Amino acid sequence: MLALADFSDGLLRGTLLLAMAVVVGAVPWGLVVLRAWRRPSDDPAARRAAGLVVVAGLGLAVCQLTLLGLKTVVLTAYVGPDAFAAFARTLQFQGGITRVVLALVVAGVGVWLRAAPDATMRWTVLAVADVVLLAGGATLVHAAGRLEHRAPLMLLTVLHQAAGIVWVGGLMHLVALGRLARRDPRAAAVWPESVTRFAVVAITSVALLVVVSLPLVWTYVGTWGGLLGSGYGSLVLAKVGLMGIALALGARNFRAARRAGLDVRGTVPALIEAEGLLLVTLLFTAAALASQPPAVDTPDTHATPVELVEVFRPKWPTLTTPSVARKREQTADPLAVVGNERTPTAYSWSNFSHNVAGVFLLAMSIVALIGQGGRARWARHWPLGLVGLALFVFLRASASDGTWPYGSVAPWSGDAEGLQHRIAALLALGLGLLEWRARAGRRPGRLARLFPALAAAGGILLLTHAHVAFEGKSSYLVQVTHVAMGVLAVLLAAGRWLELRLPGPAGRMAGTASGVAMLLVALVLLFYREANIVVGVG
Amino acid sequence: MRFLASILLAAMATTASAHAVLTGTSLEGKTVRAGAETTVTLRFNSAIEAGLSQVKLVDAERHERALPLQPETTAGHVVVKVPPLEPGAYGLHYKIFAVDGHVTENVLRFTAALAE
Repeated sequence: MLALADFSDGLLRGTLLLAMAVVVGAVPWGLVVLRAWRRPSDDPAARRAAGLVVVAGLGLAVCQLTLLGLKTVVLTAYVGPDAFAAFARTLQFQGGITRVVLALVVAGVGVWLRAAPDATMRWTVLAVADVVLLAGGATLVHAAGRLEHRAPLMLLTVLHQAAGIVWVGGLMHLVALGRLARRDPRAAAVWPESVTRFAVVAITSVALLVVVSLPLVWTYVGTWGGLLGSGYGSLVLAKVGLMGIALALGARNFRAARRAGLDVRGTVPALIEAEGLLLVTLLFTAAALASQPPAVDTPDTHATPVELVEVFRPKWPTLTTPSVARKREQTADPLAVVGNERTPTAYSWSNFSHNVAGVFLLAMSIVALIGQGGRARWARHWPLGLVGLALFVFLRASASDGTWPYGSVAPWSGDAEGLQHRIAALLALGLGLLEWRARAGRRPGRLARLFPALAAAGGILLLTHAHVAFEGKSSYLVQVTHVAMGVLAVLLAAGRWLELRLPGPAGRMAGTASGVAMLLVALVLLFYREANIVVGVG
Repeated sequence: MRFLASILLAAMATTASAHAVLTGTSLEGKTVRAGAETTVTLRFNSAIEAGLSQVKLVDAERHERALPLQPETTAGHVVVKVPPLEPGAYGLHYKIFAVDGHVTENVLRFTAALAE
């Protein structure tokens, strides 16, 4: 249960941010983009926006309640049966419960708004509820616990959140409108002006985001060494990278929208969906960042640029592994109450697992890129390699944890890392089978769209992957490879999505970009050397 | 001094869940005087919820003994009184619930040595 709580935390926090984005982004969407007060009360676009507020408000309440429940479970395990009484007196609990109540209020306002989306008063009430929701969240951010500059940091964090979620939330509403517009002519009529007006909202949000982010990054990261050499810094860089790509895609969307005359069945909706995928990932990265200690507080554990280069530079893969029995040997350290120090065996075990996974993926990506030319029909079977990879990941995780078929340990009772690896194996299996059926079949249809969805889920999993069970710098050197692979997996997903949605050369180019992203993931895995430690096979 | 030579415990410990981090401790040399009560201060980068935090003394046989937290006088500081100890290797196993909602679990290792 503790493993599940640990694993779920990042995913729940990411989902919560997404729900917040839809709820808060609805107000500028309704008032600035749709100008709902000028539309009839049964306007489908405005009603869709209000409906999304209801769903997201309820989702937000459920996520926050689940987080509080999981925290209670963790604290009970740590502190004892009286934990809940003490937890109920904390700022975290009270702030969390306040957020649940406010989220339910917002959902109620959404129902009220949906009945008459042309009523300015109802949008104003939603705006007030959103502001209170955002302000109330100040007690739940990292800044609430800081010892210096607490109040200004809380304010900056809330502004940072507001700017980011207005951008992401607005884009979610734009994606929803694009899908509605394909079957509703009244929504299709609103589409062109919505795309251009949303650009103004997005640019304003991004400008505010950049302005308030700079002092936050300065405070929490502090140095170039912290930015490049810490887990916190690597996630900040991942966020900046994803934001840069999303902005480039957004600019391209805007130009394409003006050029193509804003046809709802043209290329723009697909590009907006890909941008949405990147921004959702950005929110999950932000959630992962919240569980990292700020780089400024961990100066002694920062990795150097040389150590970073060593992680990624080409080197001969490890193709021999320690035995299962040796892997499970415990260290004799009597004070290792919290986990054990990493042993040479553990390093060798991990290197072999990652390097062999790289071999699988390298073969697949080369075949996939050959198939991209369209002449080698046999190459369309490359996804079957994922089935082999899934089996390999599952067996390695089972052997490490002593779960079936290597032992009788229950699959859910291991640590969060083992659970994540088993879920990753399941994802790879699903990905492989679905993509193989989609590519081998004559008409892939909707089935093919599951691959980018699952690949993006895999990327998010990698970004929220917890490698915290060992020492600071080595932990970071592992994490940085996972962050790189997470970002590449999401780019792979976005490329494949565009390949499916865009016709002609643009689609083929996106498909090739997707293949290149997979090749880069393969190379990161192939050259993976945990924490740069070279050890012999035990 | 002879037992000190046999104890080579690093101060670095593992972290089970991270956000609040230990930024300093009064156990500067990681050695306390055996046979005498010692007040130990752990300094964190974040404000702490004392009601949900605990510190236990761990010995080389993995026996754990809870140490009551002293009333908080400085935000982010956790103070405990370590009872008189026999010479040997010990750890302070702390579970800290920070105000920002993150739990940090870790072991700070130290040794108890006879005065020279």
